[in-house]
Amino acid sequence: MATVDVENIRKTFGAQVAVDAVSFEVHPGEIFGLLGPNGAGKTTTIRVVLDIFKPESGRVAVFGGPLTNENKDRIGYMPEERGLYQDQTLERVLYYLAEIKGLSGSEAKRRTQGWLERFDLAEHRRKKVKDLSKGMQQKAQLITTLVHEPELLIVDEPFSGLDPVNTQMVKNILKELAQKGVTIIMCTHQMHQVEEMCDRILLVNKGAGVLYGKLADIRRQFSGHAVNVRTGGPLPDLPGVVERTAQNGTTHLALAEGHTPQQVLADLLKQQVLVEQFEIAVPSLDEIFIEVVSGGKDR
Amino acid sequence: MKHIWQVLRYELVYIFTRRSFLFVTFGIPLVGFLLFTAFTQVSESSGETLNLLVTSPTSPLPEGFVDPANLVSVLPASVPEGQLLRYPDEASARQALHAGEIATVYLVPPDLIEGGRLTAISPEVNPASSFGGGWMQWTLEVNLVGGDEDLAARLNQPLAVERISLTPDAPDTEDPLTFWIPYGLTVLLYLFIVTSASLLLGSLGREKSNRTLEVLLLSIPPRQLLIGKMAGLGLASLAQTGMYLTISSVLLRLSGRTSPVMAGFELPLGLVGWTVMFFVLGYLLYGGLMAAVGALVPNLRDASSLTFVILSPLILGLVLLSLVLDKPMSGLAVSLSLFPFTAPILMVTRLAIGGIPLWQPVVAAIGMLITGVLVVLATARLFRAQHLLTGQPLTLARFARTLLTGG
Repeated sequence: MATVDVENIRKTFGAQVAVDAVSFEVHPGEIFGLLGPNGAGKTTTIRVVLDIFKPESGRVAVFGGPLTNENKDRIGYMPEERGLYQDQTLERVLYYLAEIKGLSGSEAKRRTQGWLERFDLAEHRRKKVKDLSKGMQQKAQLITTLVHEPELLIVDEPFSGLDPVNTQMVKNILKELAQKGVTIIMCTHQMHQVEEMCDRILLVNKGAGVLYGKLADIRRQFSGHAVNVRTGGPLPDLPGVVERTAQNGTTHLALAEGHTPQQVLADLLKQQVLVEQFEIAVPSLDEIFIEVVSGGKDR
Repeated sequence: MKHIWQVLRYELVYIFTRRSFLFVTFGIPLVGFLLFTAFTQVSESSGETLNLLVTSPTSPLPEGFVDPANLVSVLPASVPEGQLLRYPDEASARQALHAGEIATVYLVPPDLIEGGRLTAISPEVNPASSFGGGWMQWTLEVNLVGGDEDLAARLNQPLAVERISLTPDAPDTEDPLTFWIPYGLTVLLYLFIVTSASLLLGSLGREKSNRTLEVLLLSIPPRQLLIGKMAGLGLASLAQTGMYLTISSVLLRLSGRTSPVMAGFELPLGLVGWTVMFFVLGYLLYGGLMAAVGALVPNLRDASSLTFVILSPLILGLVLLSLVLDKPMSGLAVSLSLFPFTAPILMVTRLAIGGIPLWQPVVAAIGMLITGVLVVLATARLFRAQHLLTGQPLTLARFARTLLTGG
């Protein structure tokens, strides 16, 4: 059973269509990437999933049905813009937000202390939130999201403001949680993080889902017309190559329509060129994102 | 219910740990007390000096008059000897004035009775000062009634009315507290309804701007969030009011400077109960409206003009307070004190004056309760994220439409 099952939702604000015909599923133990340019409808989609906004049409099932008040405590949500009281001490804010998630006072304190230690924030717990650095506030927000041990985690730009060490720590935590069966939906603009962390993605553009599926499958869909080659000597002229570009010791060969990578490899071997590396050029997620968003290409 | 309690408790802790709240609650009474003490000390120790500084020295000089028609046939016995001198003509009077023997010369014209005009000549000219009368006026009054001082005195103050009301708790019109208690309670109620409603608006505004609201709404049903906030901030205001009164009272008692008028005075328990009830009902009504503004307005800056419109009935009540104090049983006073939006302050005003039939505060309270509950229910509908998390500009028309339709 999918933890989150969204089917054909539509949400408008006055005349503006924020989300239209968006569908996706997220399964237990999966890290799912929800991607899209600014204003594409990601946050609205999340708010519909979380029952903060009611959709005009479509269906949303969380934990197998409509989201109940009891089930809301099984969710951890971290909005992109941090939802913390700025002029209160860190520990007071964390205790309060943990208690409204159903933890008793003592349990909220115990768990919060543990997370403060893990995130290296224990010595700052009596500081006001506004006096913490951006990275510290981001970690504090993560604590409020994780403290009640949610089964569904929705994090919007979780690495924003974090240095490489903390970024790696958060990545490890997310992977660890996924291994334990927690369902994770991650919204981010950092495509390399998505490539590293996510199994499947949904790319939303102008309110509509334009790319959906396994990351590897999507990348394969966008590959096939180019190869990367590194040779022991100079690279000869090859038939079917329309453009060649040098890239860090390798050469990127763009192929003519109908010309296959196998034909290129066969030509190289036929000309007895020493081939040190030959690979089908798979576009990065960044390139796919730009191509789809700017070119309107749907898959 | 669990969430209502959590929100209520958090709001109370949040308010009571804010420096600004602590300053307003404890600092202002303390500063007021210190200023009051300093002022009274200075007044007591150098009252004479202050008097000399702010008032003209009492003139030891007598006054004179010229009365060619001999309208003043007798100087009243009550006029101290030598304080009012008759001169045969204007020239000799002016001479005495220039010589500094008298302070003022009055020229009594022959047609005084017909024209009612009197000329006063003095070295100092102050257009702002009015004719004080003094011994000259008294002398003229006595002479106009044929020299009978008792008759003149009776004409000056013809009636000394003793009022006897058949209503058991009718106000004592001679007692200055009859004015000050209703006035003070009304202003206090106005201040605290406005303050607590504004606290609610501020709290919502902050949570909208720092996005905490989005996190809260995932865990707390909107209606529970609204009720928790209203209860927490209402209790905070009530506690602040109580602390204000207690601190002020204790400080005044410690200083031994309570007014003799207040000595032995205690607010009737019934009036205290009504006041608290109308505070709660007023807060329910205006707090609910302010929360609706907070739910709809994109940021606090945009709320000010709408806030003024919403609070205008209370402001109107304050403006009309003197009329209500003057005639508490008039049709206007009764109507306004029954109207739910002006009742929170004006019914308490009339209750403090006393003598109003019981059905009036009961009807006013029921009307306010019904209106308040309707407002809170309508506001709770707006406490959906749909309104809370969108940033459309708020106009009075949109506010009214959304509050009435919920859409």
